[in-house]
Amino acid sequence: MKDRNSDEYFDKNFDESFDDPSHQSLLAFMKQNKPIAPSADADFEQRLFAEINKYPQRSPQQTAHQPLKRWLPMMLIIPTAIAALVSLNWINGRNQYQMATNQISDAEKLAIEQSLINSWNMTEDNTLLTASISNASAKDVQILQDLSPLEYE
Amino acid sequence: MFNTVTTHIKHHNPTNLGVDPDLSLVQACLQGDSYAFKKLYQRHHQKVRSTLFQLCGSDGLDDLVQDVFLRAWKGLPKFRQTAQFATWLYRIAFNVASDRRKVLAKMRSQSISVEDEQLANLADVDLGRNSDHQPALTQMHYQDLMQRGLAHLSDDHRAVLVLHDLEELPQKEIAEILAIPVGTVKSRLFHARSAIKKFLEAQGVEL
Repeated sequence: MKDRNSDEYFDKNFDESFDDPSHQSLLAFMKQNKPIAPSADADFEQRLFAEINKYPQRSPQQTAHQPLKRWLPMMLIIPTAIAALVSLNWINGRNQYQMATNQISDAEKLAIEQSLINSWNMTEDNTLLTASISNASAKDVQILQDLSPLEYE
Repeated sequence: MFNTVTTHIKHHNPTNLGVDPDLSLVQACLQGDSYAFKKLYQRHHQKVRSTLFQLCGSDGLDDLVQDVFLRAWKGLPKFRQTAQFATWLYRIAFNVASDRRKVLAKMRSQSISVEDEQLANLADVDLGRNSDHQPALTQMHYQDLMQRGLAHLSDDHRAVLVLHDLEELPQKEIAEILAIPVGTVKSRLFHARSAIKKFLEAQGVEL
């Protein structure tokens, strides 16, 4: 037997036309003495619709396009900002280069050029030296490889 | 406390309930026609007002009614037109009442004790003074008892009793408004009736 307090019990045994004599007199009393709500202020409706008119209804199309409208300015602002930053950076670099080149005299330019040539030549000499060392090392390696089988025999 | 209902009505059988006469007005409202909303207001405001009164009392009733219709107007784009507008509106009213009762939970007990005192004075003085007004005063007394009986119930029981026995909504619709099974509506209704009957009998009402 189902519990008389369970929802399932009431679902099966208690419908709209439920006829419990002990509740019938109560229902009659409640209907007869139902508390009546006080009437609204005279200007209530006017105030309500004045408030409602502050919030105009948007059509579904407007509502659907609302996210796009919301994000469109952001979508335009971000690429514009990136382009502006890149341009600023380029202009700034160019200005610094021009300032540097404008401040160097012809004599200094020649000195710099000579310094570059010297350092280039020194690099070339070092490369030749390294190459000769590596060649000598290769010869040594060859000799060792030739001698190594003899050691095992 | 009432639990705020946030779920949507998921199904609706048009063959049982018929085409909702409010839907054309709702569609007009969505096109920005506030006059259509005025018609909806005129159709439903009395029941909404009465329900809010049974659930929250008369204090700030105009504000509550305004809140319900303002929320409904703002929420119309989200209203699923497969549901009944009246059910949706009742659900908003129920949520507004829940919010209000949460805020006024402490003040309520104070106001009830004041009302008790006023009622006692009324019964002692006015009922004895003028016998011509006795039926009207007796009814006022019973109405006040009813209000106190409703306040005596738990929020869950009160909501079901108000919607079913006072506002005469069908159990199925109440289940949708409160987002509970029909079996639970029936169970709560039975216990609510038993509780209010006990309260009224304790106050000397013969049922």
